[in-house]
Amino acid sequence: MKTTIAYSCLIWSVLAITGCSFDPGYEAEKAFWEADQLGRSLAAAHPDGLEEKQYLELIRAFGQVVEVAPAETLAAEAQFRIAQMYITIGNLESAHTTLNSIFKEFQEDKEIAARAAFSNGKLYQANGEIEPAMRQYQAIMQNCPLTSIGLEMPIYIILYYQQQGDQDRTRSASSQARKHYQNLMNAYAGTSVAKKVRPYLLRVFELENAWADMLDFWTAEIKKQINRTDIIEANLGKASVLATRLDQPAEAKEIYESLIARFPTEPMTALVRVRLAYLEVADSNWDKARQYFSRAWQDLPADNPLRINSYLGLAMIERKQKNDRAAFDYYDRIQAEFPNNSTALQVPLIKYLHHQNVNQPAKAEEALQAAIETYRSQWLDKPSADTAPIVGQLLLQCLIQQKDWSAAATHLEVLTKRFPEEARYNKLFTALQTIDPSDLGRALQDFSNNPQSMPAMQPPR
Amino acid sequence: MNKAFAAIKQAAVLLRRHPWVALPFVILAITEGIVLYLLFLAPQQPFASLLAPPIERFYGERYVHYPWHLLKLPELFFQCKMLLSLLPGMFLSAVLVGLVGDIQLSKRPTFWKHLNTSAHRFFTLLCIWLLNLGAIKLIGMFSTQTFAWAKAHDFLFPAQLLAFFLSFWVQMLFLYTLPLIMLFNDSLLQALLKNFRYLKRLFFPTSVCLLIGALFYLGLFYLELDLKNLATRISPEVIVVVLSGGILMTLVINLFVTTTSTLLFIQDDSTDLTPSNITSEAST
Repeated sequence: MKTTIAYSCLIWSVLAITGCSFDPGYEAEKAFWEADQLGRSLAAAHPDGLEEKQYLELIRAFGQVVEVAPAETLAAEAQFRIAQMYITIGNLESAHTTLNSIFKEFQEDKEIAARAAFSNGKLYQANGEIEPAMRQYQAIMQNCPLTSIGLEMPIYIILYYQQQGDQDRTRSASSQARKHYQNLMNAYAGTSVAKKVRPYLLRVFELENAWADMLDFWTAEIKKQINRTDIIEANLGKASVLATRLDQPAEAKEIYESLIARFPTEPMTALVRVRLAYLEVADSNWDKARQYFSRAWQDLPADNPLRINSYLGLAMIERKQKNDRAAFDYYDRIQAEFPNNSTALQVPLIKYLHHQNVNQPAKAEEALQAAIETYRSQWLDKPSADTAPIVGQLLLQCLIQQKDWSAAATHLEVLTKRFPEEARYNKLFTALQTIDPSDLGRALQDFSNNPQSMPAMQPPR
Repeated sequence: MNKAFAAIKQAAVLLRRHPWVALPFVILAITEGIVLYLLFLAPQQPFASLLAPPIERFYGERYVHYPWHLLKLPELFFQCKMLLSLLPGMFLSAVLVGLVGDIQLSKRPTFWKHLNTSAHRFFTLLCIWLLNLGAIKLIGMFSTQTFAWAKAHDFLFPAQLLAFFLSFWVQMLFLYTLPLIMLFNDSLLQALLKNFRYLKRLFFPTSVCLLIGALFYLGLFYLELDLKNLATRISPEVIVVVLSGGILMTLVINLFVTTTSTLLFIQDDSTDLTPSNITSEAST
């Protein structure tokens, strides 16, 4: 009896500790974590990098995940890691086999299948094997057309041939892309999928500079649409092509005006008014522009960020009419209504740049000092994760504008530590360590003036 | 001191002669074991359908995945243990006191009768449980404040040790209310007042018994302190092993403390165990 009880207790304990469960998801998580831990301990033990035998050990560990739960998403993730490790040790054949196996086994999960085929294609592409790479990309377009990678694929192919300078193949890829997207839109006509595909087709037109085709597309869409929002959207698209691509602002204005007349109270009409107002500004029709902007922000709800565009437009009109005080009032409204918006955060710097542009050095100096104080206090107040990068960058730019090189360099160091993922800060900070101290100012100014490294903070025109 | 050791010796003899007295706490330990096992299986199917959503809701999505759920297990188990200490814990403790009383009075011990009595005194027992809980929470609050200070002054381990002994010692505050309620059928107020009188007289021997109980648990407490590191070094499953060890150790300590304190109570000079004084249930 005692022996039976003892054995029962022992079996119960073993079952309790091992889980007594055959949930493959859990088993996969466990095996994946164990493999991950092994990877960490190997990396810690070999700080100079792993050798092939250690990679093989890791591949075996991640292989356990596939063995215990082959159909689980984590098994696919483990196989991606395995493929990556095969690539690292130069065993491309096995990497291709692994990625192919993910593509075949995860046909139910199209996102995973598309990711596997795309990785496989990129691997072929990196090794100069374009034909098999294209086969992989075609497989994605056929099998996983509505995944995020699948939707992007035709454009990726066009861009690839464009980069290669192969015009024939670019044309052929464009034509294929158009057909592909058109087929998808026809197959899913009237559903949200068709709307999801539409921007990709428009991007193809854009890549080809086929503005007339884009115009035809929007005209066809206008004829098709049955609800108000779709009609306004299609008309906005058409007018935008006319105004910005075909240089026909008069026709665009006509469309906007007709939309306002047909749908005076629709929520989207505020956007129509803002766009029309900008066209009026371009024609120096200040009163009309002011009227459209004012009506737009009056119609918009208090939290709609389109109000910022209206205020910016109104401020621009006032500035053109040399009415600085009124322009600054609109900037202040942006700050008051949307304190955490990136445009609102830029307002102190915009004011400084305005004074500088209109050649008011004393006022510019005062505005710059105020801007630095504002940004410094915001920075010290520990801004949120969303606003911190903007505030940090604006403070740096102001310090550079003030030519306070040492303060700018110190702040740059802080930014480098706070945002280690920002390559531009790291790059500049590393560069500053090597240059002559007398060149510090020039380097910082170059950085500030380079639109790639720092977005230009010019007042809106 | 002699009183304490005499009571401990007597408790050992009593438990050896009547091992079934341990039944209430064995039931409690089994219940705790089942709860721990269910919590361990919470992220796995078929249990996950029922148990994972509340964990996800209260603690976050990551805690229904390996190994995070194991790292959360001590906290989850502690919450469940608190509930189990009321139902069935409080009743089973009361039953054990009744059974020890029966043996000392040379009556035929009856489990169900004492369970029935404790059920009738539900609200009184609930109040005692709440008072105990309040005292433990106070110690918890004190510990949180002290740990922050102690960590800053490199004094963390002694502070943790102090909090551990204090959490054991604080159980003494209402320890004698149970025998008063179960053996003398006292009202809540009477039980509380008399409890403090007993506590004054038996402070030292009771403290010794609780200290010995705490010393039993000390090894496991040391493991529990660094459970996360232990899990990382060995395996996350080690948490389940430590918590299971905790259940067994709690069973032994609870049995030891409740039996000795009941014996100390019964043998105290002021306890009059004549049939007219004790409850009708206990005297029959």
